[in-house]
Amino acid sequence: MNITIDQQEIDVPDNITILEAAQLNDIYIPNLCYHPQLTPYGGCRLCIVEVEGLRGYPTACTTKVKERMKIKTKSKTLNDMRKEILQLILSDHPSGCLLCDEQEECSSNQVTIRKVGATTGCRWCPNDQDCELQKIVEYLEIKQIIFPVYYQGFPVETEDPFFDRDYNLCIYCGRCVRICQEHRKSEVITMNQRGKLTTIGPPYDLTHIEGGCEFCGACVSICPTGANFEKSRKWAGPPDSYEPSFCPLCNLNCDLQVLVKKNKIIGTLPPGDPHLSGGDLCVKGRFCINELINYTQREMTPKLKRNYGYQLMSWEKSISEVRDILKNLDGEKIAIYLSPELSLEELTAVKIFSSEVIHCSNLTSSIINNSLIKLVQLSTMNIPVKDIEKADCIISIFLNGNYNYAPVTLAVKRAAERGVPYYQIGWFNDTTSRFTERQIILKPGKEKSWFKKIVNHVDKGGSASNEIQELIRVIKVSPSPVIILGHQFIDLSEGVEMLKLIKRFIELTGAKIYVSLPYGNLLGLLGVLKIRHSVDVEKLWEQNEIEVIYSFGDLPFSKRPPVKYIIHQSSYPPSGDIKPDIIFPTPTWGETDACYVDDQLIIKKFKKVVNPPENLWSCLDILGKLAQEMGKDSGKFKSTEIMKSFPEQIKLNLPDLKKVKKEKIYSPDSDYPYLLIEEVTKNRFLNISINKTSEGFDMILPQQVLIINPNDAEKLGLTDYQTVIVKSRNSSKVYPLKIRTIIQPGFIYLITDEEKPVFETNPCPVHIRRQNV
Amino acid sequence: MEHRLHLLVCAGTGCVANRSFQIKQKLEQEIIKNGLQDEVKVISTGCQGFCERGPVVIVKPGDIFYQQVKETDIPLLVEEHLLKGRPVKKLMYKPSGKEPPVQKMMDIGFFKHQRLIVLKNRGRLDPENIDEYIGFDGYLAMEKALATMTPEQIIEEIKKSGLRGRGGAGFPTGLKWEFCRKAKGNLKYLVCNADEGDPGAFMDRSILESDPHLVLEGIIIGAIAIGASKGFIYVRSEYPLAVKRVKIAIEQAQDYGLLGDNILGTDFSFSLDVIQGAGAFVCGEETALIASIQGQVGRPRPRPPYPAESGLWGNPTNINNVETWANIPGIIQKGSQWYSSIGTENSKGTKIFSLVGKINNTGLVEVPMGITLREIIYEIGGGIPNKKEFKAVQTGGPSGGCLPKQMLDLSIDYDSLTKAGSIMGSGGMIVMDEDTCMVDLAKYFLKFTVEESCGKCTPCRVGTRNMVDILEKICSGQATLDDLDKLEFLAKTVKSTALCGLGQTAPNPVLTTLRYFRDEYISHIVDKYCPALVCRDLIEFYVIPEKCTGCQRCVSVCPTGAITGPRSQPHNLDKDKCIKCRACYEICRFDAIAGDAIRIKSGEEA
Repeated sequence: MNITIDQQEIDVPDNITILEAAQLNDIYIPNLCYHPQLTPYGGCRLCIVEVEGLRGYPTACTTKVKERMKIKTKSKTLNDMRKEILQLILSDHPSGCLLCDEQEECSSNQVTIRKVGATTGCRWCPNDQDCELQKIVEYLEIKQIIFPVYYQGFPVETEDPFFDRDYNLCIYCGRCVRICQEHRKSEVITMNQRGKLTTIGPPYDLTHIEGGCEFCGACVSICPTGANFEKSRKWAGPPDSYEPSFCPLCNLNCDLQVLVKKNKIIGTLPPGDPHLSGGDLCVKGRFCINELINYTQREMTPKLKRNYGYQLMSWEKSISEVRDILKNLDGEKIAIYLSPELSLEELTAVKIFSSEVIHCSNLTSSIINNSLIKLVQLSTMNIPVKDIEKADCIISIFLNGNYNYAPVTLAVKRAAERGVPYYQIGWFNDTTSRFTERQIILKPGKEKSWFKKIVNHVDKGGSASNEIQELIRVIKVSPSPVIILGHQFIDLSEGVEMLKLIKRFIELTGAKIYVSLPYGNLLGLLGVLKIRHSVDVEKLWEQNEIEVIYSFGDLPFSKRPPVKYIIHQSSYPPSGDIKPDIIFPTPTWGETDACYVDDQLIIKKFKKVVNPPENLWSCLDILGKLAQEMGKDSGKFKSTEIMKSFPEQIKLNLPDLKKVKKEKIYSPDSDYPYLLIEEVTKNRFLNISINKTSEGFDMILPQQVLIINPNDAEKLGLTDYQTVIVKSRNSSKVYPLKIRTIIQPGFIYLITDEEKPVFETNPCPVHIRRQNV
Repeated sequence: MEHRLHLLVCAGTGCVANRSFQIKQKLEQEIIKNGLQDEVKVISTGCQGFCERGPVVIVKPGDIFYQQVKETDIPLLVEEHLLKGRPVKKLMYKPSGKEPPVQKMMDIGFFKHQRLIVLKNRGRLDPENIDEYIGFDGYLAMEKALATMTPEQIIEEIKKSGLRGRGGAGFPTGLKWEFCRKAKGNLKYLVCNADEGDPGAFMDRSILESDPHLVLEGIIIGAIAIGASKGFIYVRSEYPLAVKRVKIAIEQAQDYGLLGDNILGTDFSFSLDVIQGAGAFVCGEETALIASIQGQVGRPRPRPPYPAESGLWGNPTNINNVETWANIPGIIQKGSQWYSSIGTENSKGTKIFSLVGKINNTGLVEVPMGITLREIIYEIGGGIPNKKEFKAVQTGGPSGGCLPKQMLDLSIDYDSLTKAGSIMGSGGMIVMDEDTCMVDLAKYFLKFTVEESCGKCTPCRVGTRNMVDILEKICSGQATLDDLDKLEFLAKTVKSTALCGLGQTAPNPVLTTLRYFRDEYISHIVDKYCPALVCRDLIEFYVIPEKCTGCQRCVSVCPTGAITGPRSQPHNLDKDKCIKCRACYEICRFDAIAGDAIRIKSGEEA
């Protein structure tokens, strides 16, 4: 299509807007509310242009190009009107940072924004120097505002986690509202009121948590001003660089970019233009990584346990101490515990160390159990995440997409919005629930039998409930149904049996499957090493056959195992009572080069983005030094050598299932009317739970807290944060209470940081009551 | 059984507010008391239009017009007129003090100069009874359209009639229908826009209340022409009577097979629903209206795509105003030639105005296009009350402009009004006399727009607010001449760059008053003088000692105790305490000598 912009004849694709055509040809038209991913809005009116034959001044962002269109983007009238409009925007927006006479000098002298702001009271916008308004003010050469400034005086909203909102800085471009609605499909925030009283936020004065916010941070990224801002880097200023990387917090390993300033990681964003992209990550990738890396209680120096406490040591001394212990020990007296977040380099180093230096085969990880093995087996049939959207029928089983698996839930939501029937089976209400055709809530205590029934119905056509019949009908008429399996049920006592049934169901229906796997490098762990079942290794130390436990970021025991010596090597301190005898601090994510194996069994690499804090040795350094001290070749532990020994293709090496004692699972009855579902947190990195490193995450998905549906809470007369006693047939515990809609009525949801579920069975019928009543 | 006499009691909103239901009840009681129930029938009808003089009762045959009837007048009326056959002069309309009362409706100036097409059934049928509508040739046009015309012929007929949208912008209706008919999509919608929000306008409300079936018939004809299968009537819920009557009408039409599946035995099906709006002015804008029907916040979106391509839920949608729809049956029934013979070259047919403000005959009038402002204001409206001087007339409500005295001979049609800086709008017509300050008026309308702005685009959200700020400055005497330039440029910017019709027309009151009454602005700014003595910061109240008789009426109404003084002696007015509420000025009756004893001064005088 041939058009003319500012007397310049250009060829542009069909069906694009004038603004897009101009941008393709490097012609700048000022704009604030335009966003390439969103439907044209036409709110700010800065992109007005003149088009021959069109009345008035159409906006470039909403007007499509037409053959032989003649467009003028620059003229005195346009410039005057743009200036007028921008001044109107600025009359609503504090503009000390834009128009102050001292501006230039000030920015060259200021040390931090914070400091100047506190002294002069003018520079208090967190977006200073990274602000779209500033750029346009410069472009339009605005020197003063002729209109009186109108300060709205809204209090800064800080009660929600992760980001603050100062709507005094808002220019009502609506980008946040639209990205939440159109891209993320969450519809948490909206424009309340109208006209000059317009405010932005969840309706009915709800907080963001109450409003169902997933804290994806899209609204924060694309805010052109400083109205929405990350708490953690609020006063850090613009970053020095944006480094490509990926997220280590679950098996999806989403791509992201790391914001680096002065050799510190100050934040993470989804890939793409930092001011335009957003909404593709979950809260963990968007906000929690930064807090994880900058966790204040990270281990920084080698420590040795003495009877008076820990003594700080030099690396040389502490390594020789360990050498003395390991040197004369039979390798099989050592148990090695590995975190599923270790990088391939670290895992390979451990492999070499265990096989060639200490000759130990007791390698395990505390997360390895029957259900997980079964789940990983099933996941080998995974379709790529992006193919979920192509399905013509989607069924999710036990998917809990709250604050998790953003790419998966987004794919589901997009498909469902297009009209693809979506069924959700399980106990959770998550961000996809709103899009379901039907939510099938399994009867408490009858989960396994429900799956039995549906398999039976498909297999032999036996009688079944209406919902099962409906579901099967829908699957049968769909050429490519997709089943999404959540991992949140693998801690259930009957997890393995249910997985077997689900597998059978998939085979019978021919559905494709996507299994969401937890842990960043789980497949790397299972692909590089010969891992033993955790039950086997546990049995060994229970029978006093183990003298030393060497933990690489995996120390989940609730009390100290009966061994002589525990070595804890991690970036994070051990929890509670297990006082390891020696602690080796290591660099954390982003501070070393690392390779992970993603959900398609592809090795992803990323270069370190910052240097580790001084005095930290990497896992490779430590093991190399130990090998050297023990008279072995340390050259093998050089990272170049390690990389060479990576397998070409990752082949999973799964341990066999172990027989476990079967507990009888009861259904809720009048004595124990609620079904308690426990989940050992999968939101972790090395040996630390994200709930500990991120206060915000603990606010949205609390740990060691009973989560109960508002309906049940009302019935029981319970309110938030009350302490309640939970009693099952065999045990009784005390927890605080949190009322959330993420769980269905009749269920109680408990996320723990323990090694295993706390109650006798999972799920477990319980009754709850207030303490002291 | 035939009745000797029919009494038509107006049940339009204005008359209902003046107890016309009670009057009807009382009439019926009296008639029974006098044993006339077999001879006389009382009917409640839709709005007669002459709201100023409500409640209105018309006796047929004879068209005897009674006005401002009270319940206490009923026994007299029944006895004199119904029993004895002597019309009651006391209740008839008197044009002015000395002229004799006018007996017949059509002899009253207010009615004489009107030309009724849309309001043809006004006051003669019961809006809640479909049979009466059918009795007056109702639904014949629809039958004609369905039985004898193709959709293309209907559209051609409407195009030829020259009918233009009565909602404000004046887009040719036939063309709009054609766009929608030709748009791709199997599912098409029709919308009747009854979200009438201008202060002082009640045309659409009145049509819906007094002749809902006419609108329904128009919509159904539109549906046949466009091929729509579903329609919505979007009424604001502040119009409960309109909502009720439209709902009744839809139900009745359904019962008669005029709506629903297989209408009149053909394979044409069409259903109609009422949607109640929450009373946001901006929802009259078509894209905001669509958002509102879809359950979203009423905020406009940029056009194109126009609703004819992508409207309700992305389907082609045709939106017309109530009055436009109400014009359709007449055109189909009597032909486009008949219709286009009325009006001017580019504006055909009639237009309904709600005539309000400083005018003797407040009410609803239907006049042919091309009539002059003077005719409407003086001949129909009966001129300005209290011998005051006419100053300006505002057409088109907050989106329109103010036209001054020298424009009185302006022909009323789309193009001349636009040329004069105003708009036809949906038909509000507010008359102002010399007591109106034009700056204050511009401020009033602009404040309305500020309140009603949806807040989506910058010029409207912030620009109108800043315009109000400047006007406030002018009204309080703090402005400079620079501010006037600033105001004018800002007004032009808002007009050229706002997103939707609301913002684009919001500056019109300012721009037209600047154009026609610039002196008044300058006098506020330079002389600190408000010629109409309205702007509080520029006026002061004085007692004229020579005229004050010390009657103490002003003392008793003064809310702040600013006026003091013993009886029979000229009072004192303490300027520091005075809040300029005008209460004393209004109550002072000593104009016997040469004007009020309380005087307002402004500017140099003060």
